[in-house]
Amino acid sequence: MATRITESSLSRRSLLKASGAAAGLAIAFRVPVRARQATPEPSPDLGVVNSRGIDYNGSIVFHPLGNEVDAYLTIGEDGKVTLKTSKMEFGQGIRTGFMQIVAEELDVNVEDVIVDMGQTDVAAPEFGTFGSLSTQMSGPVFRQAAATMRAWVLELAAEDLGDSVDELTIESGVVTGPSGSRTFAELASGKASEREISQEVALKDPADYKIVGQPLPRVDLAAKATGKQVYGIDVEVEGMVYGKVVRPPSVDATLDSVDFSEAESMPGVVGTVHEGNFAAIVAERKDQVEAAIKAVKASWTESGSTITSETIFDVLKETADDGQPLDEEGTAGDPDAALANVEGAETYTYLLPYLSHSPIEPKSAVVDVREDGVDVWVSTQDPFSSRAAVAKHLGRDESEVIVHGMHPGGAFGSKIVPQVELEAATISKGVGRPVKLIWDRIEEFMFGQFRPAMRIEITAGLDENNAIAGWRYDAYTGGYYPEGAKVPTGSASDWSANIHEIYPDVAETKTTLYNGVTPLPPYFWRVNGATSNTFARESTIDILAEKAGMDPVSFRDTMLENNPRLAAVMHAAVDSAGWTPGVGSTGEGFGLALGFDANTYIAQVAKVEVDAETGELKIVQFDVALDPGLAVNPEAIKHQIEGGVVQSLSAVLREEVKFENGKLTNGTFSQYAPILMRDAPPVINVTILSDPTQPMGGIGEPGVAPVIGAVANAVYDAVGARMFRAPFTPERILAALGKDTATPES
Amino acid sequence: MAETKITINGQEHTVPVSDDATLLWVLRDDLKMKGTKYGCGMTECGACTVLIDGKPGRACVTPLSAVAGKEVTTIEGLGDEENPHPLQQAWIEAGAPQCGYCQSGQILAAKALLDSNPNPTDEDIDEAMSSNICRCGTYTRIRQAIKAAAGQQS
Repeated sequence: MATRITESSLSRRSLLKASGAAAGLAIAFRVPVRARQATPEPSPDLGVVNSRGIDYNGSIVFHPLGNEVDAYLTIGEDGKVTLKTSKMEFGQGIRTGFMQIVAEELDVNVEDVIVDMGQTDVAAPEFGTFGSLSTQMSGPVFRQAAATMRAWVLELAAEDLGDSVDELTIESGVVTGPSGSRTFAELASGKASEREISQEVALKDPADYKIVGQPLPRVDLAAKATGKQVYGIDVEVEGMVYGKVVRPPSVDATLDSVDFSEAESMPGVVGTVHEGNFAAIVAERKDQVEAAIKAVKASWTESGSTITSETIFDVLKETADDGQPLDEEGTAGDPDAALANVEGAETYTYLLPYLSHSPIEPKSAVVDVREDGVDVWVSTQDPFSSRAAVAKHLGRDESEVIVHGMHPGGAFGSKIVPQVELEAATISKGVGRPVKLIWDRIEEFMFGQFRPAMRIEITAGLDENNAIAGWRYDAYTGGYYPEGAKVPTGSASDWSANIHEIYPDVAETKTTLYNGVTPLPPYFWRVNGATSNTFARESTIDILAEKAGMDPVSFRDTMLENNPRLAAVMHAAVDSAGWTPGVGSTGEGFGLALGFDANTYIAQVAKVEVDAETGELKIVQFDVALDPGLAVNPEAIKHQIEGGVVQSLSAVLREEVKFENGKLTNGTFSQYAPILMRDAPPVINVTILSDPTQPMGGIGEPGVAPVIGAVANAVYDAVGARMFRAPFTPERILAALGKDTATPES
Repeated sequence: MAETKITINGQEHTVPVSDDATLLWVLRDDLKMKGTKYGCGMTECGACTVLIDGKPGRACVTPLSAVAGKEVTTIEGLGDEENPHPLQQAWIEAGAPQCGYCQSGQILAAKALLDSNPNPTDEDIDEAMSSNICRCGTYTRIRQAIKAAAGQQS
């Protein structure tokens, strides 16, 4: 049994007390956490909420299991098993998955497991909920904690019954032996005991699983189909008023002056706040604050940014820094030399626009700043980042701040960044009341963060054996924000950039990520750069396959000898699609792309129809095969993959943030035009090749990355148009077909 | 103090606002019916869809005066977790929701469709559902749910 760490005993005890788990049995365990440090030098605005938000540019540093952090799995006197976690559910199904993991290892019914999420005063500061890491990283810890608890209840029952442990069985929370049985409730009753997680306790053999691996319906479906699910935007507290922030006409503008005189006398207005670059007005009712904000007069000095959504692709290259190598240690080759004498070696350039997260629930928070403490209710992917940011922003100790993490109504990366809660905190402090702040749709589009644009250049060619002779990969992304910043903001544009993650044996490769200037703040969006990098890589692989005189599947097979799990999903997806691949553009409209993310192997085959006269692209079918290792809930996995495909298709077909002079020119839903039901493929087939002996892989993001590449290759197969720039609008498809378009591309 | 009478899910309510108040915020803040969601405030996403005399309407831009004497149906008027409406049951069985935020509006748009067209074609469904955005990408499941519910009704 692990040794107690003295320093943590106190905090652990207080945590245990706060968790309400003092009665019953508790297994203490440690969870993976991440360091919260803002590496770049703070800009002068940092610490004051401004039009572009603050503190989002702290780079993420992953830390392994620590000694000092504890969380608990408990059995209460009622026999219910409770897991407290700061992971957040927002439709991915992790609540259900965690219930299954705990129930399986502990032999209780799934419905007797309670997963309590997101409350910073009782949960441990796990990783935020992003990167498809929840099941992957916390799952094994919860599993081990449940196994430890199982061993403990067996021990207690054996003692109680006078039987030996190996005579006992557990079913549905009841331990039975030759001398009788004891329920979990009976065993926990009258106790207030705590044990350490043990790594020595054996885990159940996956071959005996009855709950993990079952396609259980997610537990929140009924609440979500009846309007009962509570989101951050639904929170109400006593005495609450509505705030509204005075916004500039463009990003990065500086507030010169603000005049509240007319607005202040409007019905329901209870106060105003003006602090540096930040101004807001507050009213009793939502309608009143909406009316009042229209009467606020403010003057701004705009940044005068001249970069537009068209010029950005040149800007990224012109302003690129020296670049960072992404090759694994000691594997960088010399593709320039290798390709110098290769006939037909070419450079292919791929362009991807800025994307908006645009969850349907905009950013919203209720914050109550008081003398005796601060309460924050916010739809968030990361309650502890929120707590750290609010505390720092208000100059309070973190222990004074409680974040009540609320179920987000969509997030996609946008609700990691503490932003709306900092604004609401400033307003609450200013007016001395709890404040609800809901961003409107224009704010949501314009004043959050963006998946940065990328320009990817791949130089490659084939040797005399039709193998890749050299592969030079130069990825340009927007990191320096605001313009003039000295340190780039990370947005994981490097994910999946290294070809060896997919095709391990390609020789003479060199992979570099360059950061350039970005006029819009970059941040994580779904699987980040993997979408862009997978598009570029998989398109180029198809180009090279044709040059080699091979079909896309056979050509990939030559490179997957040492990546058998990926080869297996590739063939499964091809079979599922009923596709017999041919060389070059066959007119069939099938396209393949492969991915590896969050320890999950994935292959996708798109089936498309392209109208060569109008350029219209229709997605007919999607076939996906994945190997996530141990699959906890196949039903939740399928739904996540379907959702990832559809959201990514929206980026393939339509999505592109357009801007000039620091303002979005398509910052509404009707202009940005995410796809609708009529655009979604009628059929998405998902095949899961599950190997329960392999670690659990992530699910949320792997499904997103290969979509653009699969569709690009399918468009080429259908009509011979090679797409180098997303989204694939009819104009761009016609241009790729060499046809003049009536309207110039914009 | 101003007062306005409105009928929601068959029940009359008196709310302490004038009739130019926005239906969405009256539902959410005065009547505590929070199943109707704010998404864009400009009729473009469908999260606030309610039925006004059986037809889909956008609560985010609808003043109370526009629903005077009319019957407004919200998601709370269909069924609850214990007794879901057949359409809600179809949604649950199809496993349609992910984050779930848009689903109240989706379900009400589907109800209006099936009430007027019990056996819709794929094209009818695409048309009727073309004003409700889902960002999680649940369209395929929503379509399944609508078809399953239509099958039950016919």
